Amino acid sequence: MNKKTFLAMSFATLFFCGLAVFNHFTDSNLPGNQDQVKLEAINQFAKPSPLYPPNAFKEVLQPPAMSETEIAKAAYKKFLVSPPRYLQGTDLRGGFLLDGQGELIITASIKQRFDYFFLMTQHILLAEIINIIHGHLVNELTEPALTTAKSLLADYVNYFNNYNELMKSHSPKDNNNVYELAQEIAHLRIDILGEEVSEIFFGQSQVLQAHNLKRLAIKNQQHQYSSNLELPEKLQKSQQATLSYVTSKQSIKKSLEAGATEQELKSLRTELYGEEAALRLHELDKQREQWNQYLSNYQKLNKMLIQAGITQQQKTAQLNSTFKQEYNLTDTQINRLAAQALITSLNN
Amino acid sequence: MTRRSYWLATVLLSSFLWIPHSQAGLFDWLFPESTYAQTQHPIVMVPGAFAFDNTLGLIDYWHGITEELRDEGAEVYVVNLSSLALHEVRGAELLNDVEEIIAITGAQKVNLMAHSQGASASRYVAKHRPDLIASISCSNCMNEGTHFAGNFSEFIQNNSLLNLLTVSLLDNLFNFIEAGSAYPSDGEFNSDYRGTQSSEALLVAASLDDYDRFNALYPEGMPSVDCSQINNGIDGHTGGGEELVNGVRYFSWGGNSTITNIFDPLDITLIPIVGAFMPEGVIWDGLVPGCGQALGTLLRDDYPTNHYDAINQTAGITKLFVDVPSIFVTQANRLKNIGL
Repeated sequence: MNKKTFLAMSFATLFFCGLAVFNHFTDSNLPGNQDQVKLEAINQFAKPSPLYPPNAFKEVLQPPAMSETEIAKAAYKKFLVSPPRYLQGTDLRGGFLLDGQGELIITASIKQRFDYFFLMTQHILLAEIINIIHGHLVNELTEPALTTAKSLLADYVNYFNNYNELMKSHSPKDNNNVYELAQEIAHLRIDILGEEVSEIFFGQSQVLQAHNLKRLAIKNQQHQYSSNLELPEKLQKSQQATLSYVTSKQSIKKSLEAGATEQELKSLRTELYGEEAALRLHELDKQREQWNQYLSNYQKLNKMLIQAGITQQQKTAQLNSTFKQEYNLTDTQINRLAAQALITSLNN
Repeated sequence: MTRRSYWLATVLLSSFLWIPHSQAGLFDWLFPESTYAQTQHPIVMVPGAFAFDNTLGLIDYWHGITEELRDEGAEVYVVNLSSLALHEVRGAELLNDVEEIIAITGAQKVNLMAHSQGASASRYVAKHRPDLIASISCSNCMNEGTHFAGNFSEFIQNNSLLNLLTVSLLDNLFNFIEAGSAYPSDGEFNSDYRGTQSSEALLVAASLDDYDRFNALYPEGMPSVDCSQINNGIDGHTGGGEELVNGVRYFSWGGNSTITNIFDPLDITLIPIVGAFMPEGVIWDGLVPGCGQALGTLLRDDYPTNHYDAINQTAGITKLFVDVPSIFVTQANRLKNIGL
């Protein structure tokens, strides 16, 4: 490194350190948010009770008075002490990310946090759920993030309220077109949440929905649904990984049908799954071969015993003792042989 | 390093230090990879009937659910079982798949997440290879059968011609759906992969009587009281069964809503047809009676979802305020927290 480069890099380092220090001190004036980025992940639980009133949505649109905040905090505390069974043993999902000024960064994890609480829908009053979420927000956030979070919650609930109205205002006779409905819902999201929040909250699910509806449209020859059939790379990779077992199994089956040798099968498995997995699969092949031999013997003996005309109880006892003593199988294994033999008889 | 490089570096680094009031996924990189649903053992999704190709599709069957599980750190796989077959046939197929997934991944066990008749296949595997199964989590599962199957079979069997026509019609319908599918590679109805299937077999398998037979052989995790014996399973509630049996943990949740979305093709076509063969006053989710949804620890049996909402169908258009993927992701988190 020459002298000029060294001096320039030193200057850059000092400059950025200065910026960082400036950033730190300006942030420290904000209440409770010294950290540049704070990811909340609180592992707490929730609480139950009955159904929601129609005006529940309006309540959240107004900032709660001090006493309402206390009520919300109490509701959240109660939730933490006694969560419903279906939320017991689970962590709160999602979280809040703050920027250097203590403002909430809008991410999909906020929706995940809201949705976690909304799993209590129809188990407790919607107004109570909203109260619990308010209590949670007050507990976890300070200004300016708190106001943003409350506003987002109000919009989120407002969206669902309008969604409800959308559903009510149609009947199957005047609109049973699921493609049009999906588009109406997308517009509703944008109208209420705004384009950016809508994209962040529902972007992935809308892409998936459009993809699936497009497939259905192709199948039903309804091409009016115009969306890109290609999924984004991230979703494609996710789906490929989830389908990997099924697709690779089909490749192997095709290869075997085409007369692949044992060596070719091993090579294909190594290519698909790696060497260790291929070895484990080879071991599984051997175990299955052995098992099929047991099954064949079981079915033969079963048939002989049926022909001998003994009772069901005697037959079972004879099969059990034979396979325990001669083949050293456990009760669980013998039960499995019996189940497999039953499949043959049920199919016949 | 040139002067331009210094300038570029300055601009870039400055932009990282100054984060304005922010919107967006621009900041996704600030989040560490989520481990919320990162279970110790891989998750295998076990579908009910109709999980073939584009009818619902092996992956679209679980619309948006597997993607969210993966986003949250889970290792998830789907399997392709015979759609219309007896419990034991589907169970044996699933057992083969589980053995292979374990061999491929090097995992010790798997967690099964089942929907509808995926329950019986999962219970078959847990009974015969409990060493391979960490847990079964059941969504709107069919554990006692549905009145529809028996009543419908009885209806068509009273007329042999009608019987022949109906079964043939159903089989042809499924074959037609398959033939019309755009992407025939991901699990086909009458493919060689799973052999010939039969709607008659499905009707037998889904009947209350066949479930009595199956439950006698596979009682693990089932409630101690058979709710189908209470008022013919119309409104029986028996709570859950044992959570831990032979080292396998059992969980379940379900819904009690029927038609939840008038725009949903599944809701407005299947539910009324099935409903015509259900007893009056039955508490059900559009296919399965509430009484048969319990297995192991019953987490909740009154989600405002019907049988198809439970897997986020059609294409995520379900009743309000229940984000279905959240139910599955939260369950994965529960499994993670108990070391599964």
